[in-house]
Formats: sequence, structure tokens, C-alpha cells
Amino acid sequence: MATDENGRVAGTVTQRAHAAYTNDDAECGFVEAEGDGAVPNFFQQYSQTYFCRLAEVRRFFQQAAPDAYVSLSEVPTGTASTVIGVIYKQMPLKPSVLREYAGDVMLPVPEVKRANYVSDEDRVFIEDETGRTELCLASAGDKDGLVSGVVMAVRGTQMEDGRLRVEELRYPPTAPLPPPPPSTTLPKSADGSVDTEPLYACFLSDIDPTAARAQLLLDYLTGNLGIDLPRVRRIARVVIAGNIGDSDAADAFLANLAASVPVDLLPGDRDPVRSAWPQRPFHRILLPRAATPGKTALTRCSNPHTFTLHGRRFLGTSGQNVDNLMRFSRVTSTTEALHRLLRYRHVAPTAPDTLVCQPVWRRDPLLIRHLPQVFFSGNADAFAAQTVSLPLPSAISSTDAAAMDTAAPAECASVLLLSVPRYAASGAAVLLDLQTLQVQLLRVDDLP
Amino acid sequence: MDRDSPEVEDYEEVSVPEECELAEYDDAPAEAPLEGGGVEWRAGTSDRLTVEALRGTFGRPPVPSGFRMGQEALLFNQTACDYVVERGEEGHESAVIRVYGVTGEGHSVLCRVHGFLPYFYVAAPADWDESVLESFREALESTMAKFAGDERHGAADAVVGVSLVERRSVLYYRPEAEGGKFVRIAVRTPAQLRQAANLLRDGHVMRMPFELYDSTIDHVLRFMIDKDMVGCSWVELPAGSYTPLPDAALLSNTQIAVEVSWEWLTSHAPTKEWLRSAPLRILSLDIECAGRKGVFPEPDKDSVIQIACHVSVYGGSAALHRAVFTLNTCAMIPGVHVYSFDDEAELLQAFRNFCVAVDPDILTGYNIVNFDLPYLLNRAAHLRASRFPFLGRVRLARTQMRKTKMSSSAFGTHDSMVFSIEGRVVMDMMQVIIREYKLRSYSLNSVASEFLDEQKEDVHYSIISDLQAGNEHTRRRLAVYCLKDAYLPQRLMEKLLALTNYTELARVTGVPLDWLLSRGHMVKVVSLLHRKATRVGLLVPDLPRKQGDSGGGGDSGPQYEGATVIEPKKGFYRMPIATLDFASLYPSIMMAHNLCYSTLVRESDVKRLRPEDYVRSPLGHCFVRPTVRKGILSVILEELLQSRKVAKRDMAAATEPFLKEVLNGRQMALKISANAVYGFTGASTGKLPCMEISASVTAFGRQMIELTKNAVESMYPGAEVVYGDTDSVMVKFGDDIRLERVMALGAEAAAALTRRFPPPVKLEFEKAYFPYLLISKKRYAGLLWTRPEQHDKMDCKGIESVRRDNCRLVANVVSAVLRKLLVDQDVDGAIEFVKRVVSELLQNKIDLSLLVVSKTLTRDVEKYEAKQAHVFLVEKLRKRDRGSAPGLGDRVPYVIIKGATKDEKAYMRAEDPIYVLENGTPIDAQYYLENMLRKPLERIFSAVMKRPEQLFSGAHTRSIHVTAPRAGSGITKFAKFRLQCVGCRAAINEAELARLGLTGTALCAHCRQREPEWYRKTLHQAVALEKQYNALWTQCQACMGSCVQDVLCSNGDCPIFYRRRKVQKDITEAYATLARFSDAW
Repeated sequence: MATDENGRVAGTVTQRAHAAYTNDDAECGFVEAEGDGAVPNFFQQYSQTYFCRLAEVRRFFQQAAPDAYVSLSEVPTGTASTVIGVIYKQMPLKPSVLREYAGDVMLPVPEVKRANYVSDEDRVFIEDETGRTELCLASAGDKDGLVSGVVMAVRGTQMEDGRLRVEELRYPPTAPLPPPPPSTTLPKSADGSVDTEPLYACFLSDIDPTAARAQLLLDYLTGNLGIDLPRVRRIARVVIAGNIGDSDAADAFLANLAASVPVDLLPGDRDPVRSAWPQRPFHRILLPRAATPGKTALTRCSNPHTFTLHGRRFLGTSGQNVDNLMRFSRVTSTTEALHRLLRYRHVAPTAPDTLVCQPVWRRDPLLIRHLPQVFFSGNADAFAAQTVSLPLPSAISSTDAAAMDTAAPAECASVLLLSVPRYAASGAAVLLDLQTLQVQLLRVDDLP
Repeated sequence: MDRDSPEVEDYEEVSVPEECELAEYDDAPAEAPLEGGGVEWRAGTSDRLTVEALRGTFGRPPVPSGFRMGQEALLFNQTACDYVVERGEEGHESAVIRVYGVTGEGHSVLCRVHGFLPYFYVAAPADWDESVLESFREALESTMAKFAGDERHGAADAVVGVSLVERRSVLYYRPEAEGGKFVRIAVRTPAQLRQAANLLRDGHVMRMPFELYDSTIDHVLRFMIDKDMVGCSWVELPAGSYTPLPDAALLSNTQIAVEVSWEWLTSHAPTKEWLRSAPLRILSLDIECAGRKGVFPEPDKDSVIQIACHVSVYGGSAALHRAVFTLNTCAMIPGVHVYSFDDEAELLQAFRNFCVAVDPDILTGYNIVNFDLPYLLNRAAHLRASRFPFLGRVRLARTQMRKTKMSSSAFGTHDSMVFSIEGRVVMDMMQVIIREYKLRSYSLNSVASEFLDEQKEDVHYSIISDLQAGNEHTRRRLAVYCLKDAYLPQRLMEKLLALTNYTELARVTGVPLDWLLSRGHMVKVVSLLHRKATRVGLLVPDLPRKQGDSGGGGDSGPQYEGATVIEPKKGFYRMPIATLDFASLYPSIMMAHNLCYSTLVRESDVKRLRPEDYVRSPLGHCFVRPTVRKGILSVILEELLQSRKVAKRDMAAATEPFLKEVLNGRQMALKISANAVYGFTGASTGKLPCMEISASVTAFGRQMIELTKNAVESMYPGAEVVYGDTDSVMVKFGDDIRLERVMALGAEAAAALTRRFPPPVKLEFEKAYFPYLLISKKRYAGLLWTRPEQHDKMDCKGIESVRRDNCRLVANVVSAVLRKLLVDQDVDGAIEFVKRVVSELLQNKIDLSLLVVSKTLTRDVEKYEAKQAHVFLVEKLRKRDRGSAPGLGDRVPYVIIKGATKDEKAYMRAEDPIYVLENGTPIDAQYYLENMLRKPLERIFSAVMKRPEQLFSGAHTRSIHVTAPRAGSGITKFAKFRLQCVGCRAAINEAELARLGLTGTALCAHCRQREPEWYRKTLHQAVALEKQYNALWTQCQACMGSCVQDVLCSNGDCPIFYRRRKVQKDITEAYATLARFSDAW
């Protein structure tokens, strides 16, 4: 038991339900494996990042149809062919450091951040190791969902002016499901029967730890409020999807919370961690009490963060990836953005182009190699949840890969897309039932 | 390939040596074999790339089969003219004029014009009449035959016509001798003309010297003048007047080739429907050469590895064709015709065939005149590719080049190349920009950034060799780069409206388009003068050319006392200062006082004139009044300025953007031409210098400025003229006065004073400065207002030091200071700003790119006599690594570092900026302060504060940070490297930390209490660097146009080049420091 400054005993909930948990951040390469200490090599250029991304996604495509593709330099004139490449969107409104320095170098003026950088003058290109070609898309709407950095297959015909007239844009095959957990981890109740009662994970983001609302939530989750205890007991884990800061208040908030319930803490865009994706976990120096080993159950996670909880595979971020995709495309809903990311098989395709990331050497850690069951992002303006179904690789024939939107494939996987709202603004957290993957909104203001 | 050539300005041609062919094709066939029948000179050749085959893809639109050549009128837009001397069937030589152009439908035309004879005049002795002429003719002919020797047997009947005519000389008004006798002499060829003229002048004929008139005018220009044909005009051959050229296909590479007798050809004045242009074809090209490390490519050693071509049509912005010719394989590029060759000679030949097939009217590129084209010709000669040098529109005419000397006042004399590519105009954008704009640097990098507002990827030629040596994909990469460099000149041409403006200049001045670049400025006035003189029966005397004082570089500007200015009363004026300008001052003086060759009265003749018939200039020269005789220069100027008014009016009325641009080009051309007339009279090495005119013009100008000053100061008590320039005066109407009032007074004063001057002199009020910073003669700055609501811009004269040997810091600080002073009117802020910069400089916080100076290595290191920083550095770099050291023609960037000892001279302390970044070498901040910043800043601040030297001394200069050289470099190599505490910079004692059980090495034991604070600080720096790293490197990817390929660009002119490099090092260090904070539980 931990106590706060007021000597108040935190974590009065006893018999908190347990859910099996593994943190898979290191396995996915979001944090450097221990001892490795791999410092990113900044003398390595970003080209290698794209190169790795392209090579791996190309393998995904080729597993389904090894011989269906040509390189850009082999595109014949007159007949249709299919190429795989990185999409690059040339956007006149995109911030440019050159413009910043072009004016007065002594007093550079940072460009104003826009809500959206899309314009009608945007041009779309596809690039592989052999070159770059502009795409001539059938309708202007086709480029609305595209962003720089995604890898796609394009079927089209070379035009007189060198552009590729696009007949079809194909997403990579869906990521395969992860291998099943080693043993059945579903908790049994005391009598040995399978526990079928709801079991919750609570998702939060953007907390102002000094606000009364935050205290209320803390008291609720720890049971100090003394209400709704049967449900509170069933909250097995709290996931904070970014932005709590590193103040003393934040430290106290986390120390108290994690003394009562296991907490996953992802860093967000305003948190004091390195900004380059994948973002490293909070440093323990900044949370001296909350990060005291043995006293709290705080897991300092990377962003993105992936974990297995109660046998469910989670992948999520504190939201910069979704925000960035929406700024540089005409995608307007966070769930649609999440859906697109899944289909692009990339957590943050706009990195490095408009999202800061580390240059990589061998492998792009942000590729989605296994399909999660829950794909979440934090710091959304509003709560949203949607279950989508994606065709599994085996169900995709090489010829109608693009038909997956329209026809219902034989074998599909469902993924819950979860957009976690800013708590500070909305006062809402999300409760996810790990048994059923049903979600409900928890509004502390509405509690009796 | 864009090689920096010496940066020069104000080109003026001084002399054109006649015979100076460079490329020697020793065993080339006397006549070019005919292509179309395959290429047989190298085994394994690619027969497919014949001219015929390439025309299928790249050729011009075919001439409709319905066109009945000869039977219907032929109308075309003429772009080039030349002449060729041929031997006719009767054995006579004759000069055939060739007019090249394009029809409205885009078909190329060669029109051979027969029968136009070269002619000139000599002054006839007073007692000559018709009876003398035949003996004169015989005497001239026999003298010519005697001097020409045996080989010139054609000279026997060279003199075709001799006649006695009544004309006047354009020089001097002679009261008694109106109308004199002249002999008009017509010969068969221009060479005969020169010979005859020289013999006559030197007294070899009839034992007396003759005065020559109209003898030096170029044959083509003579023809154009007599046909009233200006440059780029539309030419019409009436139906039935012309015939198709027999054997056209054997003689020309144009689609239509015809012959006509010169009387039949007509040229339309370029107005109304004849303002338009035919769809001219523009071929922009760029070549890449194999480079040896550190050596400038030489055509007898280094191959041409790629030639990129961009073809477009004038007025249309999209590429018509893009093609690249590569040595060795090259992967496909969408939208580009890629032709690969194993054999370089085949590559060159294919390019030549391509050029003929495309049949461009304009050849452009960047520095093609002095690099690409000579390289191709010399390389082809070296490879004995004897069919290569036939790039023009005349089938058997070999493309030749010769050196010509161009001189400029600032940089002395330089060699430049001139080409004979029949029917195609070489318009090198580098020459255009050097002529038209004054820039800090003329590299394609700088020019692209200046005019297209984008940075150009710059691949160093040592990397070019690597790309060439790689595989088809690396060569493709090179080809894409090369294509971009071929596209840029075309874009520059479009953006700067170069072709439009030059077309209009050709039309206004009447000279062929290509002369505008290949000849000096004066030829325009020569054309104008002759055109006008011929029409009114005046002849231009050919004065013996003054030998320019050798080595003087032919600075052709007037050499006498120039326009003096009213001494500036320097200071910072916070009240509005009105500017009264004389509109077109010199032209209007010449018109107002009728100053001309033809009105100048010799002193001996003055007494024969009535006093009311002439005016005396302030220098005492006399010119008759227009009532006696109107000066021809006045007539020319009146017409130019009248046309300009019309062009401006039409421009305002025009709705079509292209027409607006054309008319704007025209009005500018007219203004330039009007101003050139004065310069022509003053050019001491020019064709007809007349100091009496030019000196009088400036004297009148000075007098008018004086008069204006006195008048304004007496009209408006309290008003003060603070400065007077060549054609303007700056008036302070009062100390506490509103802008609106000043504008009203300015307009009133201008109108009142205009009435005091003879028309068309006009004093105008157009702008006021408010505030106004007057530093010294020709150096001032101010906010410029043309209406009282909002200022138009900040206007600076002579301040923003564009000196090439300055670093960017100077220009940037100066412009920031001026903005603070003038826009914000914040003197204290400006002082604070300078102090901050000085302090940052001393603390080593200024971005390195701002401190870089660069200079071009224009000759071998050994050939430099004076010690220069960049040369010294090159020697140092060669010792370091010969392979990567800069070579001839390379720009050498450098910064000045601290010396090891006190007495190392500055030039010895030049260092490669990259080396400085990587090794943390300390910069000599004091040097930058004293030698770069101090002078320009003190100059500005002397008008604002009492002791400007305070900017460079005082508290803000006390904190000095000198970068410690990085461990492992230089002197510290052997010292043991010890970690420093991030907090207090004390050495970290690792043993002690271990004893205390503290992990992590970022902080000493003492600073541990404040660990979170120091961590946050370090993190904050790292995050800023991450963002910078990301922004900079993604920018380079965007600029390069690829994300999968490495950025190779080495464009040191780009503002982010050094930042990009620096951030790599800085962020690596920041991450390493972060990692020293213990992450243990």
C-alpha cells in the first residue's frame, strides 16, 4: 500500500481482478533490447528507413503473388502492369524548413501549424529503388486517403507524359494474426470454472493531474470514492495513452494509481521524452515515486505500445500518428484513420516525412507485422469505437486482392478500433471488457 | 553540367579575332557525308538513330501535302540571318543572305536571298562628276586585283557599280555645305568591301586617301536595314516570287527551303498581328562528363557520359520531348526517351542526329557557350567523330566556334565562345542572367534559388563518376539529375521571360536575335542610327578606331567628369523626404537641347551662325536648334519614347497575359535602347564616339540638378535638399510634417519646376522616403511610399553589400538592422540586435553556413601569385586527401578559424567548413567581427548614433566561448578524454560515483540532487535537435525528389547544407549525453 502526501491510504480496493499481461514493446523493436543499447545512427539517412519498409512490404505482396510485379524501370509502355512502391505526396502547403530559412536567416519564423495541409495542387508519386513516377489517379478523391510513406501496389498503364494512369490501388495483404498465447491464460474463478464476468481495461489519455476531475477519477479507480466497487474491482489494468506530464502532481497521481491497479503509461506529444518515434518510455528520474520498483505496478511503455492482456493482443499509440495522417490527408475520422493504418500495415507511415522518427538500419519497427485485436490511439477530440473486419491473407486470392472492401471474404479477422478521448477536456475514460471486447464510456462527472 | 565560370558582369565585346577555330578535325572529310543511309563509321552501330528515324518521334509537324510551294505566299517568323559567299555559275563570287525562321504552323524555313550587293560610300572630291567614275572604278578594281594576289582572281570584276550620289555626313552641322557628293561603291562580297574600303582609306587608289562612310556595317544588318526588316520580324515571300530550292534535301535540314531575289522579300513591321511569335522550338541541354578526382574534365581525356535534352515550344510550359543519351546502360525513366550506348562516338552522333531531327530554333542551357558546346565539339574532334559538328540548318555547314573577347569594367577581359550553328540561336541562360542581373553568384544553384525560389540538388562530380561506375540504376539516378539541369534553364527562360524580352529588344533595335548575346551593347545603337540615317540621306563616317589603352579592358563608359551629386547631409531622417526625379533624364536632355552628331557645330563654323540658331552647352559646345536642323538622335529618341508610351498604353489595355508580357518586354526594350543612345556617344572605343555630345549631356544634367536644388529651397522656405543624385534630388520640406503634405508639396514643386525646363524635360514626384537613412554618396535606405496609406517596400541603395567575398552573416545582419531601423523605427532595438549578434558570434552560436565564404578556383593553384585563402586551403586539402580536394572550376567554401600561433595570417587560417563541423574547430570570431561586420555596420550606425564603435566593445563582448577541439583530433589526440558533469562541467570521477553506489555518469555526486532538472534540460535540447534533424533531412529528400535514394547533394549555397551536417553530429552527442543518465531501477 502506498500513501499520498495527506497520509491517505490509496488503493482501498482489495481483491482486484487479475488479467494476464505481457509487454511486447521490446519484441516489436519499439524499445531497444536490454544491453543492446543501440543508439540510432543519425549519420544514416532516412532513405534506409524507406528502403527497409519497401523491401518488407514488397515481400508481403510477393508472398501472395510472387511474379505479379515489375519494377518502375521495367514498366512497359502501352500495356498495364503492377508496381510496388512508396507513395509520396507532393504538397505545396507542407511545412518547409527552407521557406523558414529563406526569409531572414537571423530571425527564422516557424511556419504556422495548420489543421490540414491538403490542397488541390497535391500530386501523388510512387517510388521504388529504380525511380519515381507520378500517378494519374482516376478521380481526385482517390488521393484523399493517401499519405506519404505508405507502400502500395499500383496497377496502371504508362502514359505519353511519363505518368502512370492508375487502374487500381492495392493495399498490402492484411497482417497475419499473432501466434496464440502459449497456454490458455483465461483466468479461472475459485471453483475452477471459467470466469465469464466482465473484466475491464480502462483507457485514458491527456490528464491534468492537478485538476479536480483527475482526483475524482483517481479516487474512483482506487476505490477511495467507495462507489461502484463491484465494477471497479473488475478493472484489471489502466492504460494511459499519452500526456500526463512530469510534474510532482503527475508523479503523485501515478504513484497512487499504480499502487492500486497496474498501469501502462505511454508517452504523448507533450510528455518529456524524446520526440522521435518510436518514443522511448518515461525516464524514471522524472517519476521518482511512481517508478519506484516494488511499490507500484507502473509499466513505463514506449509509444507505440503493444501488449497482450487477457489473451488479447493490443497495439496502440498516444495519437500523433492519427493526428498526422489526418493533417496530411482528407481523412476526417479517427477510426477511419486507424482503419487505414491497419490496411497500410504501418503504425505511422507519415514518419519520417512529417512525423519525427529515428532513422533505422535494418528493419522498420513501425510496420504492423501481426494483426492486433484492439488498435487504439489516444488524445482524440472525441471517443469513437468501431469493429472492422479484414480479410486474412489466406483468404485473399492474388487476383482480387482489391475486392476486399466490397465482397465479404471467406475468412476475416475483426479488429476493434478505439479512439481514446482527452480526459482533461471530456472527462471520459473508456472501459473495455476484455471478455467481449465491448466498450463503454466512463464519465466520472456522471457518477452518482 | 554546371561549372562555375568566372563571375563577370557588363559584358562588352571588344574585338573578334577573325580566324580562331579551336576544334581541329584533322582528317574530317571535306564534305560531310549524307546521313540517312545508316551510320557506317563504327562497327555495331545503332542504325536506328538516323536523323530520318529520329524525325519520326521528335520531328516538327509535317508540311501539309496541299502546300504548293512557290505558288502561294510563304510567311514566316524570322529568327536568324546570316550570309554565305558562293561561287556562281559565271565564276563570280556572291554573298547569299540566308534567312531562317518558322511558319505560324511550326514548319522550319530556310530562305536564300540572292542579289543583294554589299556597298559603301566614300566622300567624293568636290570637282568630281560622272565622267570620273569609270576611271575610278577601273583604278579601284585593278588595285584590288594587285593586292589580292593570284588566288583572288574573282577580284578582276569585283566592283559592280559606282555612282555619284548626293548625301550628307551625320557628323557636324556645316552651315555652307548642305549636301555633298559621295561615291556609292557596290561590290560582290563583304570581303571585297573590306578590301576596297581599306585600299581607298589608305590612299592606294588614285593616290589619294578617301573618307569612308557606311563601310563597317555588317552585310546582314545592311540588308535588314535596306529591307526595313527588324530582328524576329515576320517575313513574307509573295506567291510566285520564290522557288523551291533545288536539291533542298541535300542542302538544308529545314522542312521548307526556298530561293528568292532580294527585291521580292518583304518584312512586316512588328505591330498588331505581327506582334505574335511562331511556335519556336527550344532545346535545352546539359552534359555530364566523366571526372577524374580533383581535375576539371578535359575533352581529350574525359568522356561525355550523358547528354540530357529538354525540348519545349515557346509559349507552352509543358515539355514537348525529353531525351537522355547515356554511355553504358541506364534504366528506364518514365516520359523520357533513354538511349544508351557502349561507344561514346555513337552517343555523340546520336545526339547530333537528335538535334537535327528536333530542329530547334533556340539552343539553351546553363553555361553551354563556354562549357557544354565547346566540350562536345572538342570531344567529337578528339574521337574523330567527323560527322558530329553539323548541328545547324544548312546541311554541309560545319559547326564552328571561335573565341571572342568580352570585357567588363569590373572584371577585365574574358574569353567567350561564339558558334556558327546556322539557323539556330544559342541563348545561354547564364549569359542572359549575367547581362541582365547583378547577383552575388552566377552558379546555377544560386540562380535557381534567386529566381525560381528553390534549391537545386547539386551532385559533386566526384560522385558523378561513382554513379557512372555503378549499375543501370545509379546511371539512371545520374540521368534524372542531368535532365533536371537541362530543364532548369528552360524554366529560367520562361520565368524571366528571356525570350520574350530579347525578341522585343531585337524588334525595337532591329538587330538579329543572336547578336543581342554574342555582340556588345553598342550594336543596338549602331542599328538604330543607321536605320534612321539611311532613311533621311545621312551617311555615318567610319572614323579610324581609337586603339584602346591596352589592358584597360575597354571600359567603354564615358571617361570625363561624370554626373556630380549634391553632397549628402548624412543622418537618419525620421520625417518624410520627397524625391523629385527627372524622367528619362539623359534622353530628354538630348531632345530638349537637340544634341546630336548632325547638329554639332565645329567651333570654326559657329561664327557663321546667327546667335538664335544655336545653343551653347555648359561646356561650350554648340548645337544648332531644331528649327535649323533637327538632330537625328533626337528623332530616334522621340520615336523610342513615343513607342514606349504606346506600348505602355497597349499593355494596360491588353487582356491576354502573353500579350501583356510581350508589350511589357517591348516597353522595357525601348527604355533600355533610349538610355543606350547616350552611352553610345560616350563610348570611347565605340563606333562613333563624340565627347562633345556626351559631356554636354552630363553637364546639362548637373546644371539642372543644381537649379532644382536652388529653386526648391527658395520656393519653400525651410525646405532643404539633403542629397542629389544623377537624376534626382531628395527634399526635406520640414521637420515636423505629415506624409500627405509632403506628397502634395512634392507634386506641386515637380510641376512648377518642369515649367522652367525646356520640353520634354520633366521633373516628376513619384515617391517619398519615410524614414530615410542617408549614409553617404549612393548609399541610402528608406521606406518607400508612393501613396500615403501604406509603404510600398524598403528601398536600399548601395548598402546590402553584395560583395562576393562576404559571408552571408553580413548581408543578413545588415538587412535585419535596416528593417529594425526603418520599419520598426526602433534604433535601440537595432543596437540591441547587433549586440546580440556580436555576442552570439563571440559565443560561437552563429550557424556556420552564415560564416562561409566561397570563391572559385579559376586557375591552377600554382598559377596564383597573391596569397589567397581559398587557394591556400586547396593546397591544404590536397595534402589531406588529393582525391576529394576541389579542382579547377570548383567553388571552394571556407571559414576562418583560430590560428595555432599569433602570427598566422588570415588566409592561412581558411578551413573547410565540413572539417570544422566534424572536428569542432574553433572559429575566429574576432576576425569576422573586425573584418566582416564592423565596417558595414559602423557605416550604417554612424548616421544613427554618436559612437558606433560601442557596438563592438562593452559588456556583451566579454563572454567568449571557444569550442574545445573534439577528442581525438589534433593536439588533444593524446590527452586522456574525461567525461564532464552535465551540470557543473566538473570532471566526472567514476570511481567515486561507484563508491557512492551511484549509477550513470551524467552528473557528479554533487549535482545529483538536481538530477530531474538536468535531465529535462538535456532532453529538451535533444528533442529540439530531433525535430531539426527530421525537418532538414526530409527537406533534402523532397528537394531531390526521392525518398528511397540517399541524399547526395553538395550544394553549399543552400541555407540548410551545413545545418544538415551539423545536426547529425549534434544529435548524436545529445543522445550520448542522455544515455549517461542512469536508467537503472
